[in-house]
Amino acid sequence: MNDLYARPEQPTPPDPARLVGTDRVHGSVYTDPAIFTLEMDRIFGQSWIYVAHRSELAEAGSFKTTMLGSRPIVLMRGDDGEIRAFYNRCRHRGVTVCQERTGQARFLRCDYHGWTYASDGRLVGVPYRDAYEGTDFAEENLGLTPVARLTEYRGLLFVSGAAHGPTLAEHLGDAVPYIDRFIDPSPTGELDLTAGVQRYFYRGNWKFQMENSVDGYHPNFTHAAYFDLLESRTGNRVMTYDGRSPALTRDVGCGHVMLDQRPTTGSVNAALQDGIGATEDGRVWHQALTERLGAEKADDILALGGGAGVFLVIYPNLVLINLQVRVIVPVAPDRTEVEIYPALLQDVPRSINARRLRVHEHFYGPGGFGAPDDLEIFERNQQGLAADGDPWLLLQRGTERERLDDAGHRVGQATDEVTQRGFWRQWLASMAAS
Amino acid sequence: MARPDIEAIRQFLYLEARLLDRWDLEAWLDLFDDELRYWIPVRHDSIDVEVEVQHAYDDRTQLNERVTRLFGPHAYAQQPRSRLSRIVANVTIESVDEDRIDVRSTFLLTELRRGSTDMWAGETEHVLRPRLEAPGFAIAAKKVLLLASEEPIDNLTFLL
Repeated sequence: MNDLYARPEQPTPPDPARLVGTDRVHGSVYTDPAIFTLEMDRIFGQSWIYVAHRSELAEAGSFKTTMLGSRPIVLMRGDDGEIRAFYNRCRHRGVTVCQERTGQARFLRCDYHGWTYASDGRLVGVPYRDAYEGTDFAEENLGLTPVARLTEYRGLLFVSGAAHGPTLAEHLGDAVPYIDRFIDPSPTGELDLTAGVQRYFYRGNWKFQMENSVDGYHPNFTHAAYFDLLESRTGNRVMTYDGRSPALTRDVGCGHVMLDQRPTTGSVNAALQDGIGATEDGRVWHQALTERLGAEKADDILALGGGAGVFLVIYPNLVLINLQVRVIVPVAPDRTEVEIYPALLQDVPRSINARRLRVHEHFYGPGGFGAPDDLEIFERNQQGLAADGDPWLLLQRGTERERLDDAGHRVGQATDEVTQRGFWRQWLASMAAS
Repeated sequence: MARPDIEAIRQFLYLEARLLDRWDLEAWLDLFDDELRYWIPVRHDSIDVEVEVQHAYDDRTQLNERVTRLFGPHAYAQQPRSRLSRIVANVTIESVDEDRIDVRSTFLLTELRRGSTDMWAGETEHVLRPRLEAPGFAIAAKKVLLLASEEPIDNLTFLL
């Protein structure tokens, strides 16, 4: 009868090193629940994970709840103005202390037994406290458990569940100048992410969306319907993702990879924003950028329609793409949520941001003219992987013509899989660490 | 303007619902005024489209494009197509102005795709213009306040 209470035998965890080669990955990395569990622990529990933008936590008491892998967390700005990250769990019996996605509060209070925490996480209220007399109970040890590290870069807030390891600056590394390109169109040097959040989900693995965001091979096929439409509207076919396009894929290390469209003149964003620099509001914006960044950079930003000209994956869960901050939230091996925060610029005429939003909505979001076709493909991908007669997915496009640029980064043509290979190299490194 | 006949408005909304459910979208587009707005906000408390993202904020050109796209060969998010069945109810006339009737209604839409059934619910605000010819009204604006607009949504490519 004792067998009833014996721990079930633990299966041997899969070995990630056997599932990722230099030019292929095994399908089980997208389907195996054991791999997903390892990812939540080793990647989302340890790496630097993007969780919020400073503008979402504007006032003292502003809070935001989100997930750090499988762990619920709450970010809160204290009365002292400092933003902190805590696990969303009462120290008494483990009930979540914050229920809303966002809001503002003076305290966080557990509704089960009334334990109350100040906005800096200190435990400041315990009903009928006298019953703890004579025990080892001590308020000062029972504040909300902080997430080990929280660091900001230009308004972007990252946390890490690991107390030790690379700093955020070390993790972001050579991606920093490209992050700057995304933020620089804002004349104050900081973005505003308060335009609202579009959320979508798909019945597929989280890594599909990360890889797809910098996949320059898919647009001409997955998004043929969109490019047909754009052509009928503008008279021009977007050639950015053609097999001979001068656009580039680039891997700057640490899993940060990008699709660099700057070498093409026909970026989608520029086409839709065509002529914005010639408007009165465009001139005001251009003038503000010139004062802050100089004429050359200001001209460049306007020519790219206010975008970065680069679609950038910040490993493992952030994408700075087109005019949006995209956050990937893994839910299960075969279920993923995605949050889309269109990035507004600060201190620009209203029409500039209005136009950014309308350009964004044209393609993105669950009702957009492009992104829903990606979601359909992700679901077909998850379904297809069940046919595991040949379990491997191929990533060797452009292996032979991959080269190092002046900065020592791997670079390939737009449709090459430099970006996917770079993502998987880091995946392997972070899955091997423990 | 004289108070319009509520039953005539109901019949018009039922006609619109039927065209949408049957994917008769060319006929549905004909129900609209030349200048139109088809609008699905993201935020429930949305107040300012210039600084807030929308799921859809179409003028005539963009709504035409939305329909054209769906009938092209490459709109994979609608391959296979969603099968739709909606109930429109709680129809009320909110206000009547010269050449403008503001109507509010609720809907419950069942979507069947790939053997999976999804329920969509919400409130619709129509701005209608009276017309002498059939079907008696033209839609100047349609704003759909989707119950799930702030939740993760897998597919919003069909028309509401």
